[in-house]
Amino acid sequence: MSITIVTSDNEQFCVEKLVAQRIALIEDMVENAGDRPIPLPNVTASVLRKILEYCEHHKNDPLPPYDDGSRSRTTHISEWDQKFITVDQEMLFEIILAANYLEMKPLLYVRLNVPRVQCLTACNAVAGDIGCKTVANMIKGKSPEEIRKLFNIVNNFTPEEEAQIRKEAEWAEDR
Amino acid sequence: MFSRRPSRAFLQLPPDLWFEVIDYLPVTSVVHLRAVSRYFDRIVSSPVVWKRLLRKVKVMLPFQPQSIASLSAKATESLIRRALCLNINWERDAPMAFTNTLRSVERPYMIRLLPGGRWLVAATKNSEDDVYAVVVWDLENPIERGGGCALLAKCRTRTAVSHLVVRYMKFEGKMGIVIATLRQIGENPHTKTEVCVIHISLQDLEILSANGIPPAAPFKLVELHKTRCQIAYMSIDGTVLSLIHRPRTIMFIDLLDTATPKRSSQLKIHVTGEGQRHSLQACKLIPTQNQVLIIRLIHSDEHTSYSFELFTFPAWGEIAKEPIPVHHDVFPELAASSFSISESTVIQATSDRPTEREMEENCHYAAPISIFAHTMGPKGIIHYQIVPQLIRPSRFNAPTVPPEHIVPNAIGQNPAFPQPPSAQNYPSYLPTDTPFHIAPMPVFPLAAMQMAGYPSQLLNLPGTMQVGVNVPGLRADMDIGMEDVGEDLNEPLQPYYTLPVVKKAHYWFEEHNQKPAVLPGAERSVFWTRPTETRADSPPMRNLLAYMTRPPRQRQKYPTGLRSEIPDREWEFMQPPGVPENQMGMSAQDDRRLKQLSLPPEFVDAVQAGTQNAAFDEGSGKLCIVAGKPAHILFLDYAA
Repeated sequence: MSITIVTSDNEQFCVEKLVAQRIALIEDMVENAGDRPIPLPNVTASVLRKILEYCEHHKNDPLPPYDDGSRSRTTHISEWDQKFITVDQEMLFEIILAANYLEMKPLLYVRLNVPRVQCLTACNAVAGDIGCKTVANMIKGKSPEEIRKLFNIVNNFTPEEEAQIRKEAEWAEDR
Repeated sequence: MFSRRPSRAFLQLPPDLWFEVIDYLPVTSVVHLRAVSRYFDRIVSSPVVWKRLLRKVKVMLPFQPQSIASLSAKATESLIRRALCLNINWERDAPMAFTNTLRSVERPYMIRLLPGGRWLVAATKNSEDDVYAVVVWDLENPIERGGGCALLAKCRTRTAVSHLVVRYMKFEGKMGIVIATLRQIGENPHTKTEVCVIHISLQDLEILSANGIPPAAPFKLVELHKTRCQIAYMSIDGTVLSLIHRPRTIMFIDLLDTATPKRSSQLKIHVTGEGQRHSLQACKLIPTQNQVLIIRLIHSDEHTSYSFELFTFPAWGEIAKEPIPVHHDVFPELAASSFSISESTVIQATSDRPTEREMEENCHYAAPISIFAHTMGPKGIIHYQIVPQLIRPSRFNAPTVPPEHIVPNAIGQNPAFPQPPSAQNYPSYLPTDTPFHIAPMPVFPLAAMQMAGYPSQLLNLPGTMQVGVNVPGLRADMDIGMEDVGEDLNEPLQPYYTLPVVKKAHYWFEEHNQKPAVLPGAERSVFWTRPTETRADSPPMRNLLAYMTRPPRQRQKYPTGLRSEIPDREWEFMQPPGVPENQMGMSAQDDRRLKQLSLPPEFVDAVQAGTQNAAFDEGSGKLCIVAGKPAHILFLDYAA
């Protein structure tokens, strides 16, 4: 059983249902769409290809561990995921945005009577999560100037504001 | 390859996703991110960021009496900043402090710091009109930036007070500071003791701090208690005032009762051993488990010893005579002159609804009670600790002890006593593996549970009965499906304090001819010493020491160039007191828990001219010393 998805640049994808079920938005749309192709006007083909690659690889994964918010989050990324996320910056942010838009919840588990509390937190831990981890790893250990360079951000503080912020930030050095 | 502009997707990333990214960042990077651009400054200035960080910072946080939810981003950030700065500084070989001198015509002679380190209460005598008063200082006055301190409120006391106890407490619906003073009134032989309890709300203090005028008189009278008895000790735990009337009575008064007189109850503890006398030294109510910890000295012709006992709290209106301790712990080998007990409520939880994991992992959540015994021979300090277990009250079954094992008032009736057991802390007649005989449930009166200091999660208040799970980002309109979560999570864990105490360390000061005083904390404490021979009210300080309950982590890296900033010249410290032995079996050099604190030269002059009193808050790292002639408050902030 497969589902047809149409991306914003009009490319058609034929996706196995088990894979598509990991994507909350598609899961919801399948119910209404019947046999018609599902349009995804916010996602381009190149990004969807990456996301489907992820879903395909993780389709049989167990639920991520329950996160009650107190877990000290590690920035460790598994080898496959690391390779998967080694893309240029533009693509990285595209993936994060798309994953957020598609909200890749393993909805399957709702059917299996897993408490929804766990599902809600589990959705945080799929593709968007790896993306955020990667961005965090890029930022970690960098000075404000280096971060600006990294993302091509323009420093729009006035010199006074910057001095003030720098002064307030002194305490955090070497922590 | 790189464009000069940020990528399209980068610009479209919503703040929610940036919060996700920040979740993976250490504090340093978060602060760096803020300095990148205005957009990131706005993102990082969101309360969400700091409240999530708060839950990840695994250090003791300064206590603050309001809920975490009511904190602004800035306040949360400052909480984290203080905690991290203090944690690193206190573990240094020579912790450094920001210093200030609080000068006023109100000359202090006794001071107390409220947990969190913002409010300082001092008993004072005005140098101009000789009027005695208690005053409240704000040590973080927002008007005078940069560690500004301001005297905000003053309440006359007529004469000098001999005891001063300050706590956070909610009174008439307002969170505030309750101040209990004790003084002698009348002439001999008609002397009476007067205990006066007043309250000032934090709301009024904030108004005063912003130079406003509160709508009504800020101080409210809570209780005025007069007695012919000598009161040896006074404490407030939760909303209950405990008074030790020597030799054998402890009186409890419900400060929230609106009747006159307020309802009260008493414990009358006896001693039955022949030729023995006892004196009650200190007590601490543990409201969450309806018990009272009592410390007393037992004297006979040959020996002096002391004991720690837990008694069931007597019901209001009851006078419990000759009660049997739930458990006790006897130390027959040593004599002590006094005891200092840490406040168990000063530990700040990392969120309003801590999860099970947070409670268990964060050992600071349920603070241990530290008891410091000032021993007489040899002169020194012994540190004992009661570390609570986390229990679910309705499922908790304490092991039971057959009645024949329970020795009523065991010290008095113990046939083995007064023979001092050899080097054993626990006499053989009371096996240490059977610590208590009943499972005391938290049955404390509801009114008395509406207390300040105790984190609300510790109390089964109807308003705070919560499910112990916290789902980040959960919207209120979502169906949580709690029925799937085991009922285990429906009952909050709470700390349970029981004996025996654990002896952590002892330090002898005998050979240095010094007499120590302790400013106790659950994890961090300060000792200061005076010469043994002096009996003056305002003796010269000989040594100032920082004590950590746990040995500091080995840190590889010290920020350079910092140690020399406070010159330690002229400060003729005695050698650190010998550390002959302690629980860890370490030598003095290896025991890094005790170290000297240095003072700037002008402070050294002041403390050596005469030191009257000192106060320390372990959470915020603020130390205040009343010293000098005339006396001022020397203020040291170890987290600045």
